[in-house]
Amino acid sequence: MYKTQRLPRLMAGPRRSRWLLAGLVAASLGAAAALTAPELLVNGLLLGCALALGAVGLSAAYGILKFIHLAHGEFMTLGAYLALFFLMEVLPALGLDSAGLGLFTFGYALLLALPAAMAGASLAAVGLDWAVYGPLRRRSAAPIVMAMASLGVAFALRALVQMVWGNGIHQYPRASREFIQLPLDIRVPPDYLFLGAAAGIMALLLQVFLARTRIGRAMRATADNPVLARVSGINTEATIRWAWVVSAFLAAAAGVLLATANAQLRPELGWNLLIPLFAAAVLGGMGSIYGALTGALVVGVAMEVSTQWLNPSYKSAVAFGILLLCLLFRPGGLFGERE
Amino acid sequence: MTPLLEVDRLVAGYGDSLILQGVSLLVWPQEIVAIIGPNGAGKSTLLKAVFGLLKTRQGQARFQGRDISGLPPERLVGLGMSYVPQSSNVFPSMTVEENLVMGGYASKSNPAARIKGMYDMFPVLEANRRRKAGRLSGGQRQLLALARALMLEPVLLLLDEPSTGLAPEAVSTVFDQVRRIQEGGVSVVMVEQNARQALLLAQRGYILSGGQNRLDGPAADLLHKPEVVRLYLGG
Repeated sequence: MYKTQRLPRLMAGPRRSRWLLAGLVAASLGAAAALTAPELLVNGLLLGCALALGAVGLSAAYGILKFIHLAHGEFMTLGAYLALFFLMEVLPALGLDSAGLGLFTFGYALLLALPAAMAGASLAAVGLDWAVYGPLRRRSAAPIVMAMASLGVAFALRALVQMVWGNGIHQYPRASREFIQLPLDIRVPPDYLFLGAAAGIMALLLQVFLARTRIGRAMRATADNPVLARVSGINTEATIRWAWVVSAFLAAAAGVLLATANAQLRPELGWNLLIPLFAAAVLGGMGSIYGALTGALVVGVAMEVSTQWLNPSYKSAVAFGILLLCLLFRPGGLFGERE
Repeated sequence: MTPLLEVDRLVAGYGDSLILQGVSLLVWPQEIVAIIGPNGAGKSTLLKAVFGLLKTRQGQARFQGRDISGLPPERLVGLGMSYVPQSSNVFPSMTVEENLVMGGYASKSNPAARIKGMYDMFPVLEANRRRKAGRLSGGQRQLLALARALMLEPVLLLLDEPSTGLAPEAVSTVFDQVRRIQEGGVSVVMVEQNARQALLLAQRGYILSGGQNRLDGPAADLLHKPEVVRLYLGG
């Protein structure tokens, strides 16, 4: 009557034996990359950090909500544009406009705009749950219905961004800065280092949040076993709202950091990253947070290193290739259990 | 004396199929009640309906005299009732200790003292406190499921087939613990396939079939009724 459940697990760590496989893949990728293009390897790792923030949210949303959230990239876009709004409209009005903080192209205004944009995107996510996903959930809509609804939400959010900010390319206020020279003749744009550090700190905070706080534990329990979570007295609806807050929070951070590091902002920012995000999440095993972190680093490196041989416009195709291979050969992800 | 739990002609099911067609049940303080019957009799459904995991269509359930029909599980745990599902009854990716913490989630007070109490009762859990629940053996997992449900000090424990998938020694360990839980002052309603062993443990038994009450009475009497032996205890 009952099957042993193989639910995705938020904090399910990779099995030790799987580490070997993951290590081999990473080592061979790393070796190939390090020999041919050490600079691309470093850049790829740092870009992978931004992907990681997005993929973690996507994976967590899947773990708790059990559907593929296709509007996740749009949370990144929305966050990036909200930061633009704060940087161009709100902070200058308060006399806080700056660029060129130390090594970096951006000013301390960005350090204020980043959390503001993250909070704004979280509010939007909770609003969407109230207006769209919540009513569908209470009607016990099938996962495919939820996914299609999220596709509609994605189009609507992107159209909204285009209506407000137009179709053109925007830029955060910036000052020009030298690349940073690392050993082995590796040159890295300074903002990439900020991206990596900020993403690393957020991943650590997320870990503490999930392991130590009441809400974080409730989120993990709900992802593990929703019925038992209710039976233990967890209000799963409130937990789901928190899952939206956290995943939009991280996605918005990724959007702002990418718009900073790439020195440009377009309405397609998040949509174009949806395939790499899914590749990262699926590679790490949908629903697993540590998996998504690792998967994102692998995808980031693969995408950057591929530009050594391929036209950079094929980067997304590389991510798509990884997604395809993974779905064909290891649908449970690198660390997942084989079905 | 008022009964602890009083289920009165309960009708419930999934969608259009009504699995329970008017089942009644009484549970007195500090007793073990076994619910037995063939597959599909509605035993597990009865527990789910009482615990608010299924909508009840008709009938009523009262806990300590209070109407609890239609209350969701997250409200019931605060009232002194606890439920252990049949399978998937632990949080597999969380450690043993975290599972216990989740068991005490509905109470704002620090669970440390209660966790200590659980470790005294189930030393095997303390030995494995940092292990992921998904990596425990079947018997250990079942003990963890019991301990999780006991974290809020319930007066009534609903157990859905605690012997499922366990080796015979593990079954007797689990049943011994159920007896100790009862000695601690808790009433237990236990749904079981393992009918003979369940009736040996229980004071009273109910036999369900086709979503209706067939027989009930003192467990010792049911064990010796020829028709019960023939139909439900396998000769």
